[in-house]
Amino acid sequence: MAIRSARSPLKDFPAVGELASLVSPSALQRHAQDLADLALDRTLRLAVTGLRGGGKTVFITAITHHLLLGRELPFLSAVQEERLLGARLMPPRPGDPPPFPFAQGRAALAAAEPSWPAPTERLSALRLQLRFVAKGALRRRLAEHRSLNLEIVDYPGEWLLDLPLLEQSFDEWSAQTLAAAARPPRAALAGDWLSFVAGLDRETPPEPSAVVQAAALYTRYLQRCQAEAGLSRVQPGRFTMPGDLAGSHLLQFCPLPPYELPPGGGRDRFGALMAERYERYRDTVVRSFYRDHFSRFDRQIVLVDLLGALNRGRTCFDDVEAALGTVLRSFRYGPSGLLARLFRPRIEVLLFAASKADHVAPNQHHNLRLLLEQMVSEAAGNARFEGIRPAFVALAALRSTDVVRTEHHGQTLSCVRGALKGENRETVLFPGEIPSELPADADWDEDRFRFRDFAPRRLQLHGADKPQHIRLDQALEVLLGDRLR
Amino acid sequence: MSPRPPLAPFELDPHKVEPGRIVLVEPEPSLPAVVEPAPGPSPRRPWRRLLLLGGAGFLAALLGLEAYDFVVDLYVRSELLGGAFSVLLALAAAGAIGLTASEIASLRRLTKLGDLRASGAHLLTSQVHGQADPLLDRVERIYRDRAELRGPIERFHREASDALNDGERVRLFATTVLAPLDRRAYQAVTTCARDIGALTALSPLGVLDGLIVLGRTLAMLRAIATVYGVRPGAAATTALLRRTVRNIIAAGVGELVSDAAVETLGASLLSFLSTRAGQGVVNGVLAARLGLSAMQLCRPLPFAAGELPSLKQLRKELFEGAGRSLDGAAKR
Repeated sequence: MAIRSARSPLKDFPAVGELASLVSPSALQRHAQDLADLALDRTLRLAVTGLRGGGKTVFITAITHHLLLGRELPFLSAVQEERLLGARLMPPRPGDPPPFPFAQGRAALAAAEPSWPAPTERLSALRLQLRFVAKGALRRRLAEHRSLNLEIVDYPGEWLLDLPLLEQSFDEWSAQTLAAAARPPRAALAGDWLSFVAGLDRETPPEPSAVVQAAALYTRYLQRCQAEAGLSRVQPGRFTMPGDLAGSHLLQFCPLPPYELPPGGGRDRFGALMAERYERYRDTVVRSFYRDHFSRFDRQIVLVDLLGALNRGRTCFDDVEAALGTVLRSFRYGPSGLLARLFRPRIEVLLFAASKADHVAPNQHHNLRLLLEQMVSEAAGNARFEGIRPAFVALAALRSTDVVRTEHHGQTLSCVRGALKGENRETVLFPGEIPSELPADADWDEDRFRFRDFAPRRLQLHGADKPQHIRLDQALEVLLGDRLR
Repeated sequence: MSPRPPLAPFELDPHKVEPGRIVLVEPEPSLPAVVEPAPGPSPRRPWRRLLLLGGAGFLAALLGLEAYDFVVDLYVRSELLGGAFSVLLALAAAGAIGLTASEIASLRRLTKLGDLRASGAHLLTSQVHGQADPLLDRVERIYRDRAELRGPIERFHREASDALNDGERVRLFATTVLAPLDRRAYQAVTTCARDIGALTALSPLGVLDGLIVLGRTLAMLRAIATVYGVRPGAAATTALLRRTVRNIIAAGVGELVSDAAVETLGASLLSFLSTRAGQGVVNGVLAARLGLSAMQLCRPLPFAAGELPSLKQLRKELFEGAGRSLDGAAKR
């Protein structure tokens, strides 16, 4: 794998591609400013990574809210030592993606009837400037008040699954997708699309309607994989979450089975068109997404909805595990120095977080963390090999439950109390136990994992009498504590 | 993990369950805190103890007998004189008993801190719930009356959510409530080290050096112990001094040697300029080392990794301070 990634196009220095965007004076100024900020260690680009439903948007909203408030973060040393002066949302610079809808997201969580944010449909960026008092007499003498620009990008989790495409040709991708579609539970959903594709006459010049039909059937298949089977690996991601590309030619293709040409010769014209469109999609949509937003990160948090994965059963759990494994191969890890930061940024801090920890009792958090460690062991091992030590945490960006204790047939059980999602009533739930190891086959067929989703508890804008999150501050300390010194 | 089969999830309806069956837990169910046995008297030296106890008892008895004879003689001479002197004697005896009691109490406090620290060290990496609160409650009781700590203690209770495990609670308590104390103790250490450094550099006599170092060091130890709530008497201070020195030796001869090498190198560079200045630096750094060690011994919870300021950092500050005061002197 190391050999493959060394040769992969992802790791190529993107200077040539960027030259074009460097010509306008404002862009030039911006790049110069970026470089200066980087050299002075004033910018931190945080990758908030997670599959669909991992909790990225809530996480970003919650950390922004708490950093702006500057309270309720006792484990963030800058807050604990009262060195954090404040934070400010920065307006987007020209050329940036649209701003992250922080105000709306926070308002929705703080409303009288709070609601979780809708699934993210497009890219947005957040820039947060933190001002703090330097720690230590020597640093304070250099500059008493320092600032750190925190840059975060939010995006639909589906798009993340496009990153592995950068290393695959159309034929490789087709073969992989078809192999997956032949296995349950996908096989049951892929019938329409596969039979349509099999019945195509691939040698005549392709009819536009047939192309549209093939893409539509494939999209339908992906949507059903996601909605009915709860699977995570749906490629390409823009098919299920098109963003600005809805209806575009770029999305009109699908993987094809290999075509055996008749002995007399001929051309697989349909396949050629599909391959061309695939390459165009990969080279314009995916590569620019990667280059502009994913190739230059300093720190990364990977949010995993472990409870959801356990709920959906064995195949989905394995699917999430595989999806995370392939996605994280697209990132570059390793200790970072000044030069590396300027020219070849690498992720130097990696934190894996099991989100929605408030949905189980606190005495299960330890197991949640252990299970997460095993689930992402491949990616974590890879990062360790590159010389960084990944951290693991079970967190809840917005705590929506209380802990209560109940008696049940003579046993004392820790339960959670909160309002279930979609039902407008408070209830007490024993959410079940989390295994400390990857569940064995026997564990799956019982109805052992039925973790329920809770509705958000109203966010108190000016701080509550109890922390409104679980370990969000510890995550922040790992991710940016050392840069707030 | 317990061998029982995992329990399937279920929902309880709070309206149907009889009231009182569902309890809000804040804090979590508490188990008795683990208290490691306190280090008792060292078993290797029972004879010395016997000698000390016997000697002290003998002296006290002798003194008492003498005083008794004296007062009885006085009574023979004059009732009034005897009465006056016996009142004085009673006062002195009460004072002695009170003093001894307070010394013993302050020694007890020091030992108690050691116990707390041992349990804290055990809990610092714990992932379970429920054992930290009894311990933290005992620590809190030491500081509950202090006005300046009321705010931090309240903040700790506000911020310690029931989702945190024992290790996290202990760390949170340390960073919230003990951090201000750490800062003050650290201040005491730097001030004392700086004083010792400057005074020994300036003092004209070798004998005076020794006296200054001893006096200042004892004052520093008392200050540190007072900050952490020990209210030390003479016996506790001596005990602290002894444990501190032992702690430094136990901390590792290797570290001591490497530190000493750096110090001596720095000092010998400095002693090119002035022997006295070099000596001052060595004395100051030694005192600082003693102070940091005493901080560890007086704190009711152990320092987590990286929480205790290092000697290196302290040295930097000392020299910076020295530089600044030299600057100031030059300007004047």
